[in-house]
Amino acid sequence: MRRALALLLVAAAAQAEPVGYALDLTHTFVTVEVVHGGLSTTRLRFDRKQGTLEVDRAAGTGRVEVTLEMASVKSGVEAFDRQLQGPDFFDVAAHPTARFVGDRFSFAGNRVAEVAGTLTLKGRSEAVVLKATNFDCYTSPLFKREVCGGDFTATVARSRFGLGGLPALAPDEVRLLVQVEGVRL
Amino acid sequence: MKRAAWLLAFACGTVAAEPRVFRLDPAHTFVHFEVLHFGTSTLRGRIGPVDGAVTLDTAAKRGELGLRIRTATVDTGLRVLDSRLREPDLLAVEAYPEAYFVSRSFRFDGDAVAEVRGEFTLRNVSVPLSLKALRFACRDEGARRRCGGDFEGFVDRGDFGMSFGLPLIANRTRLLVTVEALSD
Repeated sequence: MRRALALLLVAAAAQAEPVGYALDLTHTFVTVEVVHGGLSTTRLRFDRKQGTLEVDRAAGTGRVEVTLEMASVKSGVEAFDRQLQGPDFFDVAAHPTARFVGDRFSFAGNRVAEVAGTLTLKGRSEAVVLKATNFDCYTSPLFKREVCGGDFTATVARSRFGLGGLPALAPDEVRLLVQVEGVRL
Repeated sequence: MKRAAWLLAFACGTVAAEPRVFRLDPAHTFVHFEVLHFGTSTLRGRIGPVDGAVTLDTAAKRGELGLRIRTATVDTGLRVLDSRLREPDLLAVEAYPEAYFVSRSFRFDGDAVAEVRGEFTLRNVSVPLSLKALRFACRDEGARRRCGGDFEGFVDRGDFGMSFGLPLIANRTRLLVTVEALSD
């Protein structure tokens, strides 16, 4: 009995170890939604990125780091992309990357419900909380490994990052949509 | 004075009652699609810009719309996936280079377009589609008028014969049409 309990404790301890995931960059995208002039939504997507993900579901902790290459912004309109890359907006020559470090994970049962952290963009760091709208894990038939991921959203005031230009054309609040999947290492 | 006010109201009323023709603004008109991947995360793509025209008669609460969607413009942020989506079992862009949405049934909420019901044609298969406005507004831009909004609708991709990856990659596809148009 004692031995069984000891084994159980060992098993629990093993489960409590943080598990590393390689971000699946084909299913990891950051999209920004901006309402144009009170009319329609423009979606910006950042196509080049990298990052790491670690989750300890037993301990209820985790850490995610995502770095976006700001020059890879794609709105579907090339002239607008160039404007966004320029000095009045992202100023990619001076600030080539943006970085999110999420180090405070909240769980609902076994699922990640919220990731709080810091977004550094254009030289400014601000607290951002990403809320999960989807989260699950599955065994990938392609990788033959566990994949965990989800969808997360946050609302951010762009002026806090020195991106408050053209206030008449777009509100200060923009919405982040983050798709993320990671393959267990 | 009373007569002038009445004439003005009558004149404005008459002008407003005339249907106005709008052309879609390619910088602000796209079809976005969203599909749930393995029940876990949402795969997104964008098709467009979209060509077309809209006729709006806000006084009579009527409208007409025609969209031409060049499917080869599909852009997910992943070139390999874009190429895969263009293949014959999915968007089949060589056999069917364009998808269409045509509507003559507009529902208004006050002066704002609330819903557009019509027929969506993809891969030569036509299905009824209702697009509901998540937001809609108009404003003057010089002598012209700009109207736009976001419209949401749902289709089952399998209905168009696009069954690859079912059911792990979901059948139900959310369409988000972001659209702006300028009056002639």
